[in-house]
Amino acid sequence: MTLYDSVFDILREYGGSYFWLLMLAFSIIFILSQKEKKNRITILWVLAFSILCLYNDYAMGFMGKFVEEATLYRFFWLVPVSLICAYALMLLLGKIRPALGKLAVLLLFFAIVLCNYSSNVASSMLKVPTNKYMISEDVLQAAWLIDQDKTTEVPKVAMPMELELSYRTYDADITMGIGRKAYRYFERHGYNMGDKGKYPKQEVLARMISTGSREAPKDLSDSTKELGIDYCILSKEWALRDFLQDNQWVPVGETDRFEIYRIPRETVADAIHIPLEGVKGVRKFLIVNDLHLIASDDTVEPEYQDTVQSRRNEMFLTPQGITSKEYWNKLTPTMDDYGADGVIFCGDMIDYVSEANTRELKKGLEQMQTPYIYLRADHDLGTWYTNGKKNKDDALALQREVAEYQDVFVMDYKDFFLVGWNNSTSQMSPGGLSLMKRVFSQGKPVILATHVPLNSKVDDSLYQLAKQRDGQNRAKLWGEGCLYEPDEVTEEFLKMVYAADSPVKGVLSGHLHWKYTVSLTDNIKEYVLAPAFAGNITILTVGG
Amino acid sequence: MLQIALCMLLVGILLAAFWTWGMIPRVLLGVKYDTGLQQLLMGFFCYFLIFQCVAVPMVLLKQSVAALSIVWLVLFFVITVAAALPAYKEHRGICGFWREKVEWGTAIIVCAACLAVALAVLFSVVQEYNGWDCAFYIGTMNDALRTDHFYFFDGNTGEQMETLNLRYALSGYYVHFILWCRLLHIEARIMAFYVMRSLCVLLASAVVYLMGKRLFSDSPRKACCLLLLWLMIHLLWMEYHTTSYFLFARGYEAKGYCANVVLPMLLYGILGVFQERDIQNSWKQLALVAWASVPVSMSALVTVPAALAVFGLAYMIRSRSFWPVIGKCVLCVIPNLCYVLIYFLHVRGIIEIGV
Repeated sequence: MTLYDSVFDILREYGGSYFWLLMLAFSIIFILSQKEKKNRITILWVLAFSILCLYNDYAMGFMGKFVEEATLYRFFWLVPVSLICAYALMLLLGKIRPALGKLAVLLLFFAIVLCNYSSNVASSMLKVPTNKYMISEDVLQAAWLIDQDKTTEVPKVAMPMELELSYRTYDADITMGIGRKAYRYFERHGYNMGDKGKYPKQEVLARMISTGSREAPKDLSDSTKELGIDYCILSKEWALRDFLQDNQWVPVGETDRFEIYRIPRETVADAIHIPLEGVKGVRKFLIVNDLHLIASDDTVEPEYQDTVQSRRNEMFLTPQGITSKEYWNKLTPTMDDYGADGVIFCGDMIDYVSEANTRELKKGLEQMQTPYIYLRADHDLGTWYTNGKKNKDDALALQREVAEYQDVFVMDYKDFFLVGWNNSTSQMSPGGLSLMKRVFSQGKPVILATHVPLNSKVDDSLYQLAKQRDGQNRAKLWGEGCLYEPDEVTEEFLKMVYAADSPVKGVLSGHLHWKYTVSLTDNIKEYVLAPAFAGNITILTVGG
Repeated sequence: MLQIALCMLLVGILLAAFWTWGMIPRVLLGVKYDTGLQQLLMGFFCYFLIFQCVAVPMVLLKQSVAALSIVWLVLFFVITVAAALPAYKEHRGICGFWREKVEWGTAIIVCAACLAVALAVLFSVVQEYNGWDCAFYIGTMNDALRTDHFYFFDGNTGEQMETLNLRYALSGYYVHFILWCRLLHIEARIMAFYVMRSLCVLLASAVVYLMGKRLFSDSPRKACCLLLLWLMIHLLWMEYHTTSYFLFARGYEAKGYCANVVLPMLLYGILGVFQERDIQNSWKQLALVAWASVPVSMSALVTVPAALAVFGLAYMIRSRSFWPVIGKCVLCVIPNLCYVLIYFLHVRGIIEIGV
């Protein structure tokens, strides 16, 4: 045993105190003295076997190898301390004849117990509840403020440990920025472990939240960026408002004891790793999908101007309120900094085809040195709203000017193929299928990128969620009963993907505007990626 | 207030259901009961055993909360009605105690015990307890209600899991209350603090009362006295990690049920066997509690087999019988051993269910 020095340690910690252990011992001895011989012997056998089989250092050490040591105390629940003491007391009271004598013994017993009661647990439990949830008002207020302010469905929030203990029991529409493991680690090791510590990313933020320290702006920015924090809750006691506002943190509101800030982050980079057996080294890719870029465009028909304006200024905004065009302009100069082997633009990069939108997109692409593929989807080829390019051929011609256009993109990385299904909001072309067949027959692993997700064969959660979240109850996926029903050619391609011997090792998709991971088959995972218009990109690593 | 009223209603419905479902082992296995409380407690274990058979396969097959809610609601009504018919016929025998002439002294002590239990329930439901485990379990319930899927997300952080964690997914306890949350539109924290805690105190008190009756030759008066003393001692034994704390503050957790209902009920069954009171019946009751232990709490996974091993050894010496006792003890722990095997394979990475 490493957590406990001896079985006695566990018994004392979970039995309450020495006093109660003494009470238990006295009670057992008294009960034994009151029982007839046969029963007394049985009780002694039970005690002997309990000690022999369970309550000794060797047995506990042995069991500690199979179960977590922190759970060993549960074996002591087999000793009903309170019941044994109550039973012994009942037997003792039964021995005393006058009622006053019984009362005196009872009072004496409880007087002894009370005199030995040193814990503040019971007194701390005698409180009038503040609300029906029996939760701090700060949690209720913070949850309301974040709910009113949030632009992503499930924002990530960093908060003090005391709030982490209760927040998600009331409102699970957030994810935790620091988390139980990191906080427990900091409790044991302090907040100054630096790079030697287990949670360097969380350390800076947790230190500021827990101690009110003024961290170096760059460290703070790196920490929030790497963790993808959307909001931070800090104690008012630390008086950090000016410092945080200097760091561009936006005050959202305050509760009785805390202040809530929105973190101005432009890009959240989700990380995905697809392991490939036998492949040495790792390739890195950036994926950008569903940007829905809308530039200033004087070709929008008058009847659509309100719609387009609303889509540009209200619908497609980052949490910081940046339009997709502004975000694109900020994102592209940083794309090469990621040192990726390639970039996959996974569809719906523009909201509709117009010269203004494609020009803006192309301008950004021209700033990048990293090789990329651009998979189009319905919006990239959509001829809505404008009086400019009205037919599909014109739209396609305009798109061909932006970047290369093929039915299927194939990138050969020696150990694996990265394959992109272009225009996956439409059926797969026969030419695309024949190229896919050639790639699939090479015997190398394949990573497939498609704008429209494929429905799972083994898990209907994506299908259900897609229907639930769609205004018209449609599952915008490829598959039977979905919005995208495959024709013969597409069906053949999907069969190749789902096949038991399929070389596909992972599928990347977008389209739904929310993040989700699902098992497509027993061997393939599909990653539905968060949209770029909300400030999300994905870093994909592939390999060993 | 509506939610709290629904919680009270649910406590009533579940207690009635437990009592009614207590007829199932009576009809199918011939288990006999001395009192209505015994029937209620056996019904509780039977209820969770049946729930486990329905819920856990659906959870492992990654079925939605909505789907399981519908399946369970239908089964709940069908089984309750089916069990209510024989219960109605047996009504006279079971509630005989209440029609007997009761002495004033006994009546006063029974009333005092009921009042004390009611106060204990009140004391437990108003506890403002928050801890990492609380955050995890209720967070998990909230995640399931939010996403319509069981155990897909980490209850503490809300992050999506890679695989189902069988440490939790093998027991139907939290799944059961998630379903009722969904069916009655009760928030998870309210369900945990009002319904799950109340039931824990009520069921634990019922076990102690039965234990008192078994220890004091079926005297309800002495059983009530024992219950009163037990409650008083529990209140004064209130320190972190003790079973008292798991009763009053953490009674919504499966661990609270394990410490205060499952294991004491197992000891009650063991006591019945030792007292050799209708020994076959006592073995049947013991087996039912052991089989339903994991459905109520994963903490019973190894504690119940450990208890039965110690008990079995002592009983072999007392009864001077070897193989029959071993056979019965093994029969009692077979489900737990199966769960241990599955859990062990899961921990070793052999059984993994991707999310």
